[in-house]
Amino acid sequence: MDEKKYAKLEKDTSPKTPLMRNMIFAFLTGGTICLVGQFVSLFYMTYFDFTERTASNPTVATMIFFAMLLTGFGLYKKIGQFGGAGSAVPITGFGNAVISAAIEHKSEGYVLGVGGNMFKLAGSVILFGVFSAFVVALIKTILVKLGVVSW
Amino acid sequence: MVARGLLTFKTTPSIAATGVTAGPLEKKSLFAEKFDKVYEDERCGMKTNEHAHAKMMEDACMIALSKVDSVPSDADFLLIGDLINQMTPSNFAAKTVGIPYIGLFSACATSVSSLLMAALLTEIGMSKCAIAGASSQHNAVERQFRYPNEYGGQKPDTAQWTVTAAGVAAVTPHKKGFPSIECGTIGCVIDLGMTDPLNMGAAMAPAAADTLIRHLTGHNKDVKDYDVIMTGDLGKTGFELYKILAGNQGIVVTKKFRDAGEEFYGADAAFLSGASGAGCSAAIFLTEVIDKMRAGDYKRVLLIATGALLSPLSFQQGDTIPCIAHAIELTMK
Amino acid sequence: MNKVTYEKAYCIKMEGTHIRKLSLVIFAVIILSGCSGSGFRIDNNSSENQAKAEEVLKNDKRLTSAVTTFHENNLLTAVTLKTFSRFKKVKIEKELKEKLENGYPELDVTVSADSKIWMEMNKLIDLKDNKDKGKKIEKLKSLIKEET
Repeated sequence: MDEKKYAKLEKDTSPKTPLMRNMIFAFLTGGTICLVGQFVSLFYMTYFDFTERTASNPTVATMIFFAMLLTGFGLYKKIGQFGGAGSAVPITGFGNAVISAAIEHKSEGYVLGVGGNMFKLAGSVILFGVFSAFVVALIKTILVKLGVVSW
Repeated sequence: MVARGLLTFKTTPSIAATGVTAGPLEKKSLFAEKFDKVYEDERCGMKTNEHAHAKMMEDACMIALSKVDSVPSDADFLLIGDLINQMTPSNFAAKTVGIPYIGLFSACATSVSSLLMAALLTEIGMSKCAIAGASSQHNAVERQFRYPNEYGGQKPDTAQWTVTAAGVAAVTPHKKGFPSIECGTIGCVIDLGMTDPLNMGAAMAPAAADTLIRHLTGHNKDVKDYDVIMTGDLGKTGFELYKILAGNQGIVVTKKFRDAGEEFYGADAAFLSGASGAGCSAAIFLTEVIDKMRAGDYKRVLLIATGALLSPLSFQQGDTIPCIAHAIELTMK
Repeated sequence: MNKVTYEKAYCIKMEGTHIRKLSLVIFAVIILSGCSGSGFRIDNNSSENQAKAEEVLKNDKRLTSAVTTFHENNLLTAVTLKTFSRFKKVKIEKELKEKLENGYPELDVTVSADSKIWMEMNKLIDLKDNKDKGKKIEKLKSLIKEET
């Protein structure tokens, strides 16, 4: 049996990824996380002097705090298994990636373990996030200078 | 086919005792009641997962030794292995028990390869009591091969769950009334180009099928000769593929075919495709199979442990997953 | 060993119940949080004519509600927008401000589509006495300018 034949056989016998189910669950999970975030944001707007725009910072911090608790109690991976992209895309997913790595490497000490490995997974998110922001800003600056669009 | 890699043991060394320890999650296993020791804490009261891993192995060795009324100084060899870098858990366990030690690595197939080595040492009369086995610890293994444990990534249905378990056997010269090792087959590395580390069953299935066929033809045996033919940790997906591959080679696939990985956690969907890890095959082979042999339910069994010989680096660099399977035949006379 | 069987039975019994309860609660919250008020309110305690402002705000189809207050030389308007218009929040704020400035060239016009300002404006209008209003309006104006 050669590789191609086996790859085909493997594809035929392995369980299919339930795409529709995954999408619906991701939608529900992501939506629920965002709903919680909306409530947190509303809380900051109602009880503190934050506007819709300025409330986003404490909201993000609070959501990451929630993600930290869930990760620490071992619940976030269950949510992740259920929700897939729905739990990975919001800021809580980013928080989970950082926190899980930090917990994992605590046994190697705080400097080389936690400090050195905390951004093992999330580091690429930061790098490519910053890079793509730079590219987008560059394109927009050029377009503005050319007079195609305004700021 | 030239008979290569075949082992026949004239003195038929016996498995005089087994010691199997498992983590708290393994209580969900269908075989939980057969394990010698189940820890309440996944770190076994130790500081790190790796220490827990070593502790588990150490306890399994001590249990196996105590069953043959021995102390570590009575044992001649310690042949154990695991999946962690440089096999440190096994090394630390060997340090504590203090038996002359060789670390063996065949990934999840270590359970069988170590038994074969122990049988060889016994066969040539160099060993009166050799401890052979393998272990895996979920947190330590997952951390090394995949993501941090608490990372919330979605795993596909083909993914397997590394078990927290250690299983060792005390191999002695032939003893009446104990399962004895009659022959074995050393596997070849088979690689059919699978690259997905979350679908190891599919990668390992061809190796298992290859070793099965080589064992049957090499030793002139037939499926009918066995009461059970059990594979190590193919999981649900891998087991299906293995049965198809074996069927293609003209082997009649019957209910005798069992897979430890598939059965380990029963039908619990939370474990996706089933169990994996060096501890999975070791724990099931040395409890379920050995117990049934001693009870007289099984007269002759074929155990095929499968291992995926990958490292975190190799699959990140896009390499395929080479796999191996070793077979051992046990009889009860 | 008895404990193992007991725990197994417990696992089977409890399977899925938590998540079912949780989803019920979440559902109830979603349904109950669907209601909120709307409307156009104007509070005028200056000598200005409010008709022009009313016209500008009521004729804008993108608004769902607007709260306006005239106080001394301040004209402060907080609006809420239709869902998809919210993406053009800054643009709409600008447009409305220009329109209102045309109507009231001598007033200091501030327009905000921020829901915090909208909330505060509603509270402000409901206030009985006018003593602190000036101070509060100044505070709101500085809040709008806040960046982070």
